[in-house]
Amino acid sequence: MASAVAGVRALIDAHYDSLYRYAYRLSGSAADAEDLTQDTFGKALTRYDQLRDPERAKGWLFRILRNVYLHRLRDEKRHKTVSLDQVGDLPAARPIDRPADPGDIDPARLQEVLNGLDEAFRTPLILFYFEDFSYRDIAAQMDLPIGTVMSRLARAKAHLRDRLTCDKATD
Amino acid sequence: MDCDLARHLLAFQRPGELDAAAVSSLARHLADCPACAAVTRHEQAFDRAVGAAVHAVSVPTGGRGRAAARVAAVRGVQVRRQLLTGIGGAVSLVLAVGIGGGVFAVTRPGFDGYQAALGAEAEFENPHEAVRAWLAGQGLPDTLPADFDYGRHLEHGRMPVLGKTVPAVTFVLPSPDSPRVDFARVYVVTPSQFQTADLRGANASVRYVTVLADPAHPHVKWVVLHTTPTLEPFLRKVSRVQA
Repeated sequence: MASAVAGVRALIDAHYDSLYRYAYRLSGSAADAEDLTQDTFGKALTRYDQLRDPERAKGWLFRILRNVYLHRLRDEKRHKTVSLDQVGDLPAARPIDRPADPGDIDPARLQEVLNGLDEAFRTPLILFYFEDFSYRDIAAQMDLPIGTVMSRLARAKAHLRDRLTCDKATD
Repeated sequence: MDCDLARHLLAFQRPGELDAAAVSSLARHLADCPACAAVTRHEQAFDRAVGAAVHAVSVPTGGRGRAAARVAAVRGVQVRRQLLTGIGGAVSLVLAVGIGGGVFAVTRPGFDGYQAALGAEAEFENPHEAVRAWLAGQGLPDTLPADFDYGRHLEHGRMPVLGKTVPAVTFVLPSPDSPRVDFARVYVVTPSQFQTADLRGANASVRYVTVLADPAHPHVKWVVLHTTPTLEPFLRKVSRVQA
């Protein structure tokens, strides 16, 4: 058990920052993000024997964190979100005359848009932009087929693009 | 490759997602198709901007330390559970043997040590407050005179010593290198049970006794029986006078 404690402490050193950022983007709250991150490492200790391949520790931790977050959502039954199933079809490919460079995106505005998305679409979007995760990794984390992940991701990106670039068009 | 396929593959244009042949084919199409190339530039610029914004989260200072403290607390709960289930199992075994030997009447209910251990778990979520409330309920000072680390708290209750039962609080310190568990048990001794005026510490081969006092409570002594040479491993910091 002592080696598990040392192992988890090493995971904290290696992955705390990225895990916290993920938790923040999921929850939209710094306090919740810290709580989620701490809970994740606590659970990592109790499940440390499940981590077979240290190379996959980051994905394993992200999966634990998401499950902790989902449990809280179920308990709290909050979070009014937009289901993209109600949004309509994906927008067509953009015409060439729209601006090619979206410029900088305000992180706070990004979080507002993320907060309005159902978790089923928010999670793949956040994982996609953490870059280390392949579509296969995202599908494994969410227990979904790759095709479903890509479909949700496409819809979520379209929603994100419309909300963020629409803001810029009205600036 | 036509434009429909090219734009479909753009979603996969990340390291490791496409094989070399598809990457090469897509690159050739983009070189020959200004419309798809423009879409690609827009997608990549958007992804860079969103990626930067997603990562733009300030991580609070001290977070890693607090996470490590949470891990230590979880470890403490794990140790307590293991110790309690061991004790509960031993108690159950003793009583089962007693029942088998005719010591207990058949009509008595069985004692499930494991369930009893689980029932006590609520106390372990905030052991410091549980001990404080219990000591106050005994009419005793509600704070121990040394700053014990309640992450190491095992149990509290009236314990037999020298023919009497005395309020006591027990702390444990698992050894990282062996199955051995060190402990410190704090007996709260009052004049109603023992002479407290001349209590002193003592050593035996594997046990030590330290007597603590608090000027605010001159008639009470805290007699600590411990297996480590000093109380240091069980403390957060020393905050009171030692006897």
